[in-house]
Amino acid sequence: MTLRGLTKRYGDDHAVRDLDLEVSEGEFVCLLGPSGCGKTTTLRMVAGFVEPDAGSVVIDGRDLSSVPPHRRPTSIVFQDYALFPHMTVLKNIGYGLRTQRVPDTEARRRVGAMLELLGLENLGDRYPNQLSGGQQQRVALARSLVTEPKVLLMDEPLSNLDAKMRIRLRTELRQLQKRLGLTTVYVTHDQEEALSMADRIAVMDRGELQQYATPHELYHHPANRFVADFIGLNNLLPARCDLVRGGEVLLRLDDGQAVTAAEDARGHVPAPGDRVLLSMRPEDLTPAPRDEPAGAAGSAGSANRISGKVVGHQFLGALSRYLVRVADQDVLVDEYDTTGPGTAGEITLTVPASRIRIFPDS
Amino acid sequence: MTAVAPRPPRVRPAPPGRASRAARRLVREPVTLAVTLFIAAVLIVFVLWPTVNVFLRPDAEHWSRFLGSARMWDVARNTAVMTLLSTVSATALGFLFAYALSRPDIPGKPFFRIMSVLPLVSPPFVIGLSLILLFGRRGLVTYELLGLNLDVYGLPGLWAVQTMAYYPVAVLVLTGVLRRQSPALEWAGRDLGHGWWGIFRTVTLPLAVPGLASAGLLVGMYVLADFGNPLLVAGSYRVLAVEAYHQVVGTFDLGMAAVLCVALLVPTGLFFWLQRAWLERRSYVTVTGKESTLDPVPTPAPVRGTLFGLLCVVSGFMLLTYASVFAGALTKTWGVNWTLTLQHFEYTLLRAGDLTNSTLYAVVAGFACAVFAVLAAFFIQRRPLVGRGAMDMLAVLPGALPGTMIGIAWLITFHTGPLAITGTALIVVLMMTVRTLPVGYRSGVSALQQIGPSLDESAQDLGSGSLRTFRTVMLPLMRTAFTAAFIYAFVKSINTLSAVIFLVSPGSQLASVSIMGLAEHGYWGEATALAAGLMLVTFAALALFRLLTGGRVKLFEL
Ligand SMILES: Nc1ncnc2c1ncn2[C@@H]1O[C@H](COP(=O)(O)OP(=O)(O)OP(=O)(O)O)[C@@H](O)[C@H]1O
Ligand SMILES: [Mg+2]
Repeated sequence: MTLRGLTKRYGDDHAVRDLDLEVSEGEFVCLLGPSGCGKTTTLRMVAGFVEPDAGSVVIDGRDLSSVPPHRRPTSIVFQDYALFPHMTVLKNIGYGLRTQRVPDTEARRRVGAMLELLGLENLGDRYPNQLSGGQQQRVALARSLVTEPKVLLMDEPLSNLDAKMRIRLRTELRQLQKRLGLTTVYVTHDQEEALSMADRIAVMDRGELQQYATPHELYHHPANRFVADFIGLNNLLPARCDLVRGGEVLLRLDDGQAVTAAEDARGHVPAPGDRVLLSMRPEDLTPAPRDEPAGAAGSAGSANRISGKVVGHQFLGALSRYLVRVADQDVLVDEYDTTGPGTAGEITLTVPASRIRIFPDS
Repeated sequence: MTAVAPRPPRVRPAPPGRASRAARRLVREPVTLAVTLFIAAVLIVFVLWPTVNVFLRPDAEHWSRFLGSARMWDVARNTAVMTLLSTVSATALGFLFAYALSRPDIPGKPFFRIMSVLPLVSPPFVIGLSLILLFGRRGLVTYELLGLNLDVYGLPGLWAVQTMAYYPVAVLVLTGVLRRQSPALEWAGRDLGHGWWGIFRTVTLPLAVPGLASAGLLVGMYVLADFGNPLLVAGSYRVLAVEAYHQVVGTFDLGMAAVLCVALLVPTGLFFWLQRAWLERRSYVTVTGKESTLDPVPTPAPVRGTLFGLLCVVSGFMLLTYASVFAGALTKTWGVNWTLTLQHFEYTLLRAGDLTNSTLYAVVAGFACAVFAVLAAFFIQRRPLVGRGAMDMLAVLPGALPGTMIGIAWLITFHTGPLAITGTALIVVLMMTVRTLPVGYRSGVSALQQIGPSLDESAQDLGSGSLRTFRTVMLPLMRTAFTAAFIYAFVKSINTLSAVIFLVSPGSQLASVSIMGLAEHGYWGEATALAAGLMLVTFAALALFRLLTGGRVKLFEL
């Protein structure tokens, strides 16, 4: 499936702007972004509920622009499931087969297989209001799957469930998708969900695509400041570029401390004198008392030492999280060895040059 | 506030043991006691007593005469056929109308909505009147334009008139039902491969079935109880309400009239009960917040065109109806001499007192209804009363009683005996008050539900007595409910016919009753001028209401 230059305006505001996206067969893609960034609108344009102002949706080489929703090879699972309240589970699931002129016996077989696949065997005669949230979710999924869509669309299908259920269904859903080899576009604003399920994630902000990459790439090589800030925790420190030399970028924090970053082929390469933002993950910063030489991380040359002062500390069980004041900015630092007494006061943070990303400061 | 659905509020029965405590508290509060006794007395005397009398009045002889008469069986069958036909057609038309109004891509909806509400705020018999003007023996369309000699009197005419007069009731109920359907369900149907017709057949329509049944029962109640239209256009096709009327005015056989009332009341009561108790719980509520930005599914162009055409035809017909009434009022002799004249208006507005009486009585009744409804709502809902469930029931009961039946019941009860007040203006005003009480009471109750008991309790805590709490805290908060009850009662009272026709006397003649007499004798000019006058006063009152409330409160969806 390919989206080309997809654009939708409501009034003067762009809900989605010039969106290009390519989804390979059998791939599980998450649309991720903050509320109101245009995820649902994108999905609805793919399903055909919303007419794009520009751009096209192409599936299997076929442009769907003039194809109405009921003839598209897509099927959507709604956020609140939209199960028909006046039909039993069986009728709900079989609903899409009626228009496909599937013979009765064949239809019954397929619905039965679907019930079995999703563990709904005993619930066929119930009405939606007699089902739990998780069961409703599975019925909605079955109703879409039974029509054998080329692309399955899901709009925050787990957001109405409690946390435990969400994690369980997440795994089930992903396994099912892999087993069926189903091309899937999954909308969520929960980054953990996206990171754990997706083959690739499309991060959106204010209607525009920010980055489209694997979860690993996204986390470790965010393409811009928004993605760096949005995915996981990140520290953003303003600095100035002094010199670019032999694969290294020499920088200076606002309080004069020098920091060296490795030049990132995929990242931004500043010119000397540019204002930039350094981004560092809390887990890449290793704290040590000021007078002690930094631990194993300090394999000389590529590691930076930054001074700061601990102003806060949270014990979170698996890790200790410090709030450290560096160059008048607050920096989060995670320490994974929590057996010791922890550090306080003036400390030194060690960070490998390769773990620092650089973004232009606008 | 809905104009057509006085829903009985749910009153929790007081647990045992509470009653005696309630009684003790009442004695300690003399004002509460006095007001409560007053409310109870009014409800018992004017609602319960006459209703019971209708059942007690006929003796075995009346019943055997009724059951043994082939003519009465004909009347009963006529009524059933007429009710069934009109209810089905009015509900179906109302559904299509409401469906069209619920679609986003149909133009001109505000106009069509107003057209669908007009019949609710004008005298229902206006439609019958205009049918005769347009399609009657000397009808403008049939006789003048087409040269036909058509007879509209009878079942076909009545069927058409009642369909047009009561489809708005179905529209009112069903727009609410359709509005509550989540667009996501239609989209889901679309996504799973169904076109417009498939979705309509498998999703939209089945989901609306409880609403349709509810609307149908309500329409049935109105059609069954309707009196003015059958009197005007049914001709020799007798129905129960008209037959009861003739039993009273023709032979003054109150026993037989009472038997007919009971026959009328049984199905009406059944419809009322079914509609409230059973269907209300069966509706599919499909509102969900999540998919709220989803617009309704677009309608295909041919369907859109058809629906738009239907809206135009029905609304055009409605316009024609009202235009013909005004035209009739301005024409010298309809069907004979088409010269324009103001003489009918002059006669009805200036010389005859009917319209003035109607207006005056409706104002008094509107005021009385609003005061009593708000008072009753407060004391029945918020004060520890003995038998409040019963009082609550009595307050909404008049909504289930056909007008003809109440009228005859009052005639039986107040013609002789301790409270012989027939022939006075008082009884007419009282009748108007009682008949509009259920809706006023319900609007008072729903206003109270929004206020919450803590406010009233805190006022009491600070030392206010019941009446003072009511005056200083509740009344200001219930002002909107009060205004709405007043206007509703005014509009309904000024146009009412079926009950008051039994109670008016030469000194207290009403416009609606006069119109019937004038029409019966072919005085079309005067009849239509009076009807036009009624409508003008009504519309003016509604405009005033809008002005007073700044459009915040909807009355008849206007
Ligand atoms: N029917 C509509 N009319 C007007 N504006 C709309 C409509 N639908 C969406 N929008 C606007 O378009 C923007 C994108 O909305 P969209 O529903 O796609 O966001 P989303 O990413 O799904 O957000 P969420 O995570 O809250 O569901 C929002 O600013 C929204 O207000
Ligand atoms: Mg959304």
